[in-house]
Amino acid sequence: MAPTAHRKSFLSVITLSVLAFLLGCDPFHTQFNDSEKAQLYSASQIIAPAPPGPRLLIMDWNVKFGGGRIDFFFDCHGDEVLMTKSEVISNLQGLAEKIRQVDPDILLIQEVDTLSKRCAYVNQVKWLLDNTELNYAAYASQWKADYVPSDGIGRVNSGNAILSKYPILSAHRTALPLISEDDALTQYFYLKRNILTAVIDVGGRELTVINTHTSAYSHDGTKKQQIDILQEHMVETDSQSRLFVAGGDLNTLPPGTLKQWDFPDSVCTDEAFQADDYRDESDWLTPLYNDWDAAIPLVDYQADNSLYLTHTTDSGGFWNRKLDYLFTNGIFVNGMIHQDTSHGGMETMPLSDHAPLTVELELP
Amino acid sequence: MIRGVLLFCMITCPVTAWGQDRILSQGTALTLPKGTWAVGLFSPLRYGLTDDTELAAHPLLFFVRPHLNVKKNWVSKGIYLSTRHGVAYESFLLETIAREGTGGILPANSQIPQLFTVSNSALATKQFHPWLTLTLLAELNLAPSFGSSDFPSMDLPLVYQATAHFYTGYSLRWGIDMEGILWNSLHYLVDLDLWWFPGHSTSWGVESKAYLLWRFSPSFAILGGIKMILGSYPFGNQQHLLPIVDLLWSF
Repeated sequence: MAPTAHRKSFLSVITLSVLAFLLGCDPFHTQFNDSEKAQLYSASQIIAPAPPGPRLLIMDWNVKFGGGRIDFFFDCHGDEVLMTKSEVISNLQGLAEKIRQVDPDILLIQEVDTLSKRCAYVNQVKWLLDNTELNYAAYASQWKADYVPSDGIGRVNSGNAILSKYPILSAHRTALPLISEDDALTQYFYLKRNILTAVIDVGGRELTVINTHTSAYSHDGTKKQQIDILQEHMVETDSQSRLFVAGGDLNTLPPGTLKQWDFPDSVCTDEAFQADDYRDESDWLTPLYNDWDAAIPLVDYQADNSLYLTHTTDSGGFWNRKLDYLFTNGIFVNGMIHQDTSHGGMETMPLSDHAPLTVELELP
Repeated sequence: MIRGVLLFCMITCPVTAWGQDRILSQGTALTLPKGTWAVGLFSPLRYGLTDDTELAAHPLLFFVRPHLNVKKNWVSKGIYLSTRHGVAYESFLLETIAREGTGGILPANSQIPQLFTVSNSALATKQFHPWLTLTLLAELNLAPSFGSSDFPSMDLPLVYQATAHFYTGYSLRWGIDMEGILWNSLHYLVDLDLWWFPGHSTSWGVESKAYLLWRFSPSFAILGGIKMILGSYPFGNQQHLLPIVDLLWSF
């Protein structure tokens, strides 16, 4: 064979190989843009909402991907990884029953799955729309991979969602910083936190709803950065004279929390997955409390922490820390943590590892 | 004369070779000449036991997934007709990947039975021209197992199709390969495989690949190309495009 022919043949193969490699980038589809449109859903049957009254009922809940109180491996209480479809539906029925009982106008949820093997591929956003009075939803994934090759997790798509009785005009996902101390492989496959923002048409008035779930396990200041970016979003929205509700699972404690570390339900021994020491975070939420109206006013919380605790991983225990929040640049009234029958009219401990939070927003 | 070798196989799927050259014959009805070896970076090690009987096993995969394939040529006049028979012990690999942490493809609490794959294929190959050789394939995969079994499917392209018989008891595959010499030492291959696994919640898959192969020397070749997988999975239908590359030797 002539040298020129050799070179051409060689180049053809190399070119095709390089092309093939480029086509194969992000092979597990885990990546997001810095800013992108959120995914929109609507219920199979739209239930026309009543015209909004003077107040909107807002609800916030980390629903633990419909896992109820199954003891999963990541909490170190058990070894479960994947649920059956009947387990998922049974747990979702519990969540839907509570949501119907509260009957919120707008619901912010975290850890909701749309296409995950651990949830038998049930689209939980769509399921909740079809089994509550809520009509519309915006969804922003925070964990997406065709396959997570760890712990048997497999395919996952989990994130934050905003569900509403009223139409969603627009929604987008803003990426938050990744945990810098994670190695490249972990960063590629692990959670990518975000802020989900939706503009909702409430009877002709626009309401901006901001939902987030910040990092639980960062020790490098990433969680603080994420909370600061949330605050910047709120300031920017307020500067545009837009009424907003913002919140979610911020994975940190309010100022003035009495118990800040050594929680009895933290049984993980792997240091990377311990989230039970908040002593260095005691003032991280101070700017939010200073600038905005909180669903649970700080003075109320500091008077008695126990009434407002929202999280525990131990199904046999009781709520032992407050991680879930709602803030507004408007006026909130009647904030409440639905801890149990006496506080909310229904047991919530079996439904998720977080208790739901509700508050009424006064419409201007 | 020993000539260059070929073929790449993404994880589980055997790939066809080209043409009349028996050393380059992995996916065809042709067998290696007696005493001849061929191997690739990702391809199995093959050995011509006799002129019409070939043994094959992947040298690295063998230690976690013990297996052996035998290809026997029955007709070699004008058209080549062969059968291929293989057996693999699957449990050890499945137990290895059922683990906590990184590399845990299956949950650590999976129950893995004593599981085997018994594979039987029929192959027919005819060369019409140096630039066109066709191979037809029909394959039946069986999965005899013993003991309690509770482990989820691996919903990954290639893997899902190749392991579907673990859950259904059997799967069927049909394939057609077209290959030949494009120009001088530049070869091509285009193929199409159809999977069917009746009884599964999802029941079909399609795989197709196209690659170019350059025979760097009589005993060495490199290839690069693309593999497309379209399949039904428990979460719905999905298409994947994967790069393929391999280095191939014969001796």
